[in-house]
Amino acid sequence: MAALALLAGSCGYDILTRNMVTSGTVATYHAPGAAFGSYGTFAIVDRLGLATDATPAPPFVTATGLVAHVRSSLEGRGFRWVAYVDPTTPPGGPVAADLAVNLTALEATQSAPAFWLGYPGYWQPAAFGLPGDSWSYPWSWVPIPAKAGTVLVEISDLRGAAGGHVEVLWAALGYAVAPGQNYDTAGVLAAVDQAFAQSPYLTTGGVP
Amino acid sequence: MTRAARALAVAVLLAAAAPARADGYLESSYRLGTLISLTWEAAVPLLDMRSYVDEVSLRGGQLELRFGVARHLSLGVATSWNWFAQNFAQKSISYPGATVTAAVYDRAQFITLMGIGHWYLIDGPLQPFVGLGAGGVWTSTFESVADLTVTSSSFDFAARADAGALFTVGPGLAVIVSARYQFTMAKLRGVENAQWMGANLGLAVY
Repeated sequence: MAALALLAGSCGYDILTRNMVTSGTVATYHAPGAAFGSYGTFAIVDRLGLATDATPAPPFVTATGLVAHVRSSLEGRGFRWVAYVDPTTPPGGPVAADLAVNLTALEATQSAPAFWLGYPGYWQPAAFGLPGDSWSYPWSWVPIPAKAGTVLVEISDLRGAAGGHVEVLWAALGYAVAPGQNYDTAGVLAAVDQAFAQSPYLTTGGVP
Repeated sequence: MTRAARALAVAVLLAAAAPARADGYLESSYRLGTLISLTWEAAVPLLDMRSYVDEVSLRGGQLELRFGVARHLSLGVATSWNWFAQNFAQKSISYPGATVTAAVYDRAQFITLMGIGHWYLIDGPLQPFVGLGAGGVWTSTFESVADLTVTSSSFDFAARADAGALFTVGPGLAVIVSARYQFTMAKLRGVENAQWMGANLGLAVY
């Protein structure tokens, strides 16, 4: 009878799984076999593009702390910063850097993978002096729907751009880490740190 | 001694001897009875299963039917149920080309059905036994990463080894304790062969 009682007591509905936590989730992606060690320099946008369903929406978000943090994180991995890029006044020619670092604030709630590609506030390769080109992603997305306050960091291969495509080598998504559209908070910077921590291959000399 | 006193003495002796007369299971070749046991099981994940869940599971149990086929030997069937669950505030999960760090909720449920055999080492109210079993396991899992949930189910081979003891506490009634090593070929995320060690406590009638 004691065993029966114990078994019966253990059959309760497991309700904890209904309380999903998305805030703070960090996802990183990398191009298969990308030889990060073959890249030495990078250029980074000086502000964040903005993908939002709200109207009217500002074309970008200023987050100097986040930009500086991403820059220092890459420098900490051995890459050399060469230029900031202002996407609102893009350079006339390709930026002289191996890698392009693009930052985007995602304020739209969408489940479609890479939905931001179709949003006007998202910086295209034109921001790095490659007008008419488009980004390409060599991976499948884990279908976690984006939430407001999500930050997207992408590192792309400027040196290998060809055929109108610029391959994205690495991407990080910090989900719902910036409530109130403040992208300079400790939560956002912690998400960037986590993204780098779970990407040990992202270094000069590294291969995933 | 009067007749009454003599009768009382006999009654006392009989009463005192009653527990000792509660025979153990399969002590005689002429009484090959059936034993039914129901136990609660606490289980500890082993080896690579600990990468999926590493907490002790208190949700599990077994139902066994043992048929005496010879003195000290029984054959039968056993079914068991185990539920492993663990919540992680933050855990990194690898996907092809991707890593996701998030709150993770891992669940796995196993239901086995196996043929079993047991050998009882000695007679008496305390009977240690050892056993083996083989059969199948139905496994269902779900893993929630943030608000992404992946479920799976499968049917795979399973085998077990156990050792324990029957403590006969009355005629045809025993407390059963045992330790079970359960091997399965069930695959969870990052786990090739789900397996665990269980401690069982329950009752047996025979």
